[in-house]
Amino acid sequence: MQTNYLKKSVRALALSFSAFAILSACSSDKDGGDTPTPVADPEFAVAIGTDNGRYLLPIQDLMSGKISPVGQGTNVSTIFTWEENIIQKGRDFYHVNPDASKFGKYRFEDGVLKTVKEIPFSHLPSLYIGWHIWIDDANLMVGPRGSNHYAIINVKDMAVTKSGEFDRKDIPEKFNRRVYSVIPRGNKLIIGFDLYNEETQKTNRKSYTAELDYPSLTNLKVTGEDSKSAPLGALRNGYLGHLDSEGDTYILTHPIPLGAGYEELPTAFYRVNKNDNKLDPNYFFNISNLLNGDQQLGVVDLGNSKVLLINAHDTKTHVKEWNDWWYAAMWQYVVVDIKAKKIVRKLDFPLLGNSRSAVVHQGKAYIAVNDPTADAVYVWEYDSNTDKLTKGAKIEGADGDTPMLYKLN
Amino acid sequence: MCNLKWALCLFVFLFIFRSHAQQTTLNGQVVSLENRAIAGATVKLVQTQQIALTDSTGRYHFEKITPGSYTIEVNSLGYYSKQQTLRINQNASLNFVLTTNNKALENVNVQGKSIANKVRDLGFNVNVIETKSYANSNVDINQILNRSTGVKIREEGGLGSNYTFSINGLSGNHVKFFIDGIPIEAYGSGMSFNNIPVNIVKRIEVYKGAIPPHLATDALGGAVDIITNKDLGKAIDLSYSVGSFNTHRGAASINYTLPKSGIHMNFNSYYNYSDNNYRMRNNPAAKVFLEVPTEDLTGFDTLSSARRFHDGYKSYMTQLEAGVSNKKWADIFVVGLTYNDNYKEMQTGATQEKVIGHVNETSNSLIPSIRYRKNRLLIDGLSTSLFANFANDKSVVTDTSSWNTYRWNGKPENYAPNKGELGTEKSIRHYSGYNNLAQATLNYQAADQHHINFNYMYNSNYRKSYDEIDPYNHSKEQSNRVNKHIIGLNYGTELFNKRWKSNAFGKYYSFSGNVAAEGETKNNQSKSYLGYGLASSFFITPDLGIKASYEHAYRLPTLVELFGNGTQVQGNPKLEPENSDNYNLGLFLNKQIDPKHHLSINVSSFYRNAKNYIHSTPALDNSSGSGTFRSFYNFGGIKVEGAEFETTYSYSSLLRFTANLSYESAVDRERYVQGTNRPKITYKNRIPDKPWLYGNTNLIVGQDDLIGKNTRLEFNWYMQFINEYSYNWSKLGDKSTNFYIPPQWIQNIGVTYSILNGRYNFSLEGKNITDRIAYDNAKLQKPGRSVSLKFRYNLNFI
Repeated sequence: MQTNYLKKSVRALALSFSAFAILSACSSDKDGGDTPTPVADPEFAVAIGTDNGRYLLPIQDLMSGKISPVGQGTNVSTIFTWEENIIQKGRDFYHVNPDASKFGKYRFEDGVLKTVKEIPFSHLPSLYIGWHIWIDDANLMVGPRGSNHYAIINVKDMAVTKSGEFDRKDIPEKFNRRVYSVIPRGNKLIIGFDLYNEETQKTNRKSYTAELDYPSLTNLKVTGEDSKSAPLGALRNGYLGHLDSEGDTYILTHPIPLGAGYEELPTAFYRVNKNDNKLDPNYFFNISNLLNGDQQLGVVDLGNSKVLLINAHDTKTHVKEWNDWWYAAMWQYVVVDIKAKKIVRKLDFPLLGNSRSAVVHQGKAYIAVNDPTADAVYVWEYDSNTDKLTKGAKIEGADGDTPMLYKLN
Repeated sequence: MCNLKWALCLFVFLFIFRSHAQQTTLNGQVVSLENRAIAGATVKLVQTQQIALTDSTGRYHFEKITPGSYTIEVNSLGYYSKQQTLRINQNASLNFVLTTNNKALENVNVQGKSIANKVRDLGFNVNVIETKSYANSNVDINQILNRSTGVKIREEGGLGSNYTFSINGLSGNHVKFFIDGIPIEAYGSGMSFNNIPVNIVKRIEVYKGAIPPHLATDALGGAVDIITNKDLGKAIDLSYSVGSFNTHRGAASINYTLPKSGIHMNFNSYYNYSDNNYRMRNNPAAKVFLEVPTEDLTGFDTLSSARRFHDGYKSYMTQLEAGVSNKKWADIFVVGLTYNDNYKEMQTGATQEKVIGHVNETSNSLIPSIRYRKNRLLIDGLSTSLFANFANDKSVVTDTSSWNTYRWNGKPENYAPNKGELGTEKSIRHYSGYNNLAQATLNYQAADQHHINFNYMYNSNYRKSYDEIDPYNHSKEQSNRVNKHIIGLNYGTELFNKRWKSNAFGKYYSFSGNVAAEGETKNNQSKSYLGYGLASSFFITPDLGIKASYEHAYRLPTLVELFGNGTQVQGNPKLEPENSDNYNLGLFLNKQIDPKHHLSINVSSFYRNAKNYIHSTPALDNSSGSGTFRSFYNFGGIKVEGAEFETTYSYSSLLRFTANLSYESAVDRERYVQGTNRPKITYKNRIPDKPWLYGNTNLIVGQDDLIGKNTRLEFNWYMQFINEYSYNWSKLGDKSTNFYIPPQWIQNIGVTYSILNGRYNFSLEGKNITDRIAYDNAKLQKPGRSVSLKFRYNLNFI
């Protein structure tokens, strides 16, 4: 009797095991997922990170509802393999893939990213882009970080039309020119650069400007030097480096210690007046001086001489090691007036995670606010005319990486 | 040329051993009461301590026996031991018939049942793999392990390629590896499970979830211990194989003990070489494209296939141990010296999109060691073993391409004299360091039913690096050190006539580390943790048992994870140890249906809850502007639940069929995005790019004496299946943009012809014979169809 009972128990146990194993094995993918809603071509898009992939999502409405990667958008991690190499113009996205040595054109339509064309691209010694400019609607000029090289790509024909080095004739022996910004001015280009000693691996702590003819890229003349701030231009591709206001060009420096090596200097705007190709000696806007020595990165031109910057607040306290530049909540959005050379206001958010994203639409700025204390990233509207902040759409699923907003039209 | 030398060496050994003067011999067969051959039984000459193992037909053979009177003792798992005394004056024959002892049947998942291994019945969820049945195959340890339940090895290419090892869903550094109970890192950077050939290995133990304290380690998901051919008395195993992709592999394993003086010698060596120039294939279904520029450079053409052109691999290892055995003060005392040397070309980056044509890595290690074992230390029941070694490790990564890019047609693009391929500039990075290890074990059999084990392991790992091309750039210099102390204490009981066996254990982990990078503040940290666990098994009937185990395990960050390596890994000194609660529950049946039919079934389920999970992702940023860096971070963790099933049916020595299936679902257990209040959208979702259902079948059909006396002809068909799996989070993104890695069915066949009772063996093997496109990791393609021929000479003197 006892034996039978034991046998039955054992059989039941064995069956339970087998059933569990088989049922488990046959269970469908746990991810499930909501049914995606059809997407009309949206006006805006946002790129957000998850633990395993970055997603480009369509935005139907910046100011209400939810934006979610569930069932919509495209995992762009295998397309945009290096975030800072993305260049966007309207619905088209361009990207230099350093691993595959290719330059690609992609279009965001029907709510997903589609490949238009990819071409071989190994024309630069490093394929990690430091700057780009649109010479016209068809011609894109790019250069690597910390380099004297450039390449020009006709994005309509998808062909590299020119590549090489800027004229080296005035570069001292053992030095190399590191170009930070290239600014088109009619038939001239202005470049901002520093000189880097390849042997000692140090710069001479000066910032230079030069002009050269375009499209020949000849006749390079150094037009000035300065040492009040870092070399002119964005630290890396993707940050606002210069803007035009009433014909004058304002150029932002990025001494922030994310690789530039000028961390002891202040962030500042320089100016090139409308009929000139060199720095205005009477203009220097020391932003750090007004923000307790903090340094800033460029975000977006708000118009009417207002510029949105992101301020790295009290990095001495917040940055204990390298990753804190990306993880620590220490960033503040700041509006500055480049004509009046003053801080307009700090936007009223808690200290934020890494942020550099905003778009301007119909005179208002829309910012993807990476607030770690909130239940999600939210789009906020900032009207610089009325100085008013309004909370908008909720972006679900974003991790702590920088959310990037794009205006597609 | 090297290959020729190697072959010559093997045959010189062969000749030396063959020419040894013969005296007399003893042979015979061991069978069960049902007249079924018993393979793997241990036959021992008590007076000389010589040992022989029976082959698949139950036969054993001793050579060079001095005439005299001998007691011959036979042991085999599941049978009562037997002894017989015999006077041997000339060549003699002696057969044994053993009686079944059901109580001794082991309660674990066993492939082959030849070695009576105490570990099996301790309740741990362990696969014990006897490598004897693979000895004639042209496989390495990884390929054998990949056939085992719950184990997934994800290789990035052919011979010598990088791989990720997964046990029940926990992978990478979460799993620890041992050789003879010693952590593999103590043998230098060149020692790896995918270059150790099967012929120097006796047995492999795979512990899943809970790890017994005799493997003093910090592992989160499991541990693998390979037991090499050592201390076997007198034995020799030599093999050489040649195969596709110009692959050559040789191995030698020689054990020798002089019975009177007790002088003892173990020699293990291997050599591997391969061009690994297998064909890469275009595969739109997996979104893998072999793109090469059009002639006018205005776009890309897609190649249907292309040969790998920079993936050569060469490695060799020699290990010599010499000392004494069977002394009053030591059962074994040997000093050893191990040398290994590796050369490896790099063909791809983290994905196939990054084609590399010029980067290579060389490394070598020289490791003196000392090993001591005493079974009765001062008092009855007390035994000890000690091990210590010092690994001196050097490696060089050379990245001096001068070309901007390579493509799959093997052609470089855009000459750039200062350019490297991994970095933006050329570099020749030198790493040097050492690994000190000391390990002590004390076992005490307090009474027949109670025993206590104590283990201590000290490990100190130091490493420094510099760039030969850029020696003044101190940002590339680092010197790092990590010290670990691990103490394990185990109490074991065997109750109810040994039907119920249990082990309770605790482990103490302590580590300290520092990094001194030029120009940076010195970084120190020191921490300690306590882990614990329980393993138990119970035989419900003599054939049927149940087992369960649990461990709260810790894994300490490694030197490279904490401090980086100056090339691919950027350090994260803030890393915390990870921990996991691991549960296993299993049921096993081992049934001798009748004299010829045998059936075994193992079913088990498991659950893992890993927290503070250390995971590598591309570094968020680095100042060099290079995308090749990765960093390790603590994540919230994963939960894994799963089940596995394996059955083996055998019919005498004619047929053996094994099938297994493993299911594991690893899900994100982090509720909120780290450092924020945001609910995580992937919470409870299955982790992508990870196989979740896979299995194997293995059929062996063999016939003895088919082509002559004392021969065996054996046919083997092995199939591997991996179900399709999602490359991305499957619920995220538009369905049209997501894709899956297609199901993979890989077929391998082999035929082996053995003569003189397995002394000479010839094997012809075909792998992936249907030439399917196979991926393991990040869509990195593995070799297609290949063929190899192997010769093996095996002799147990004794």
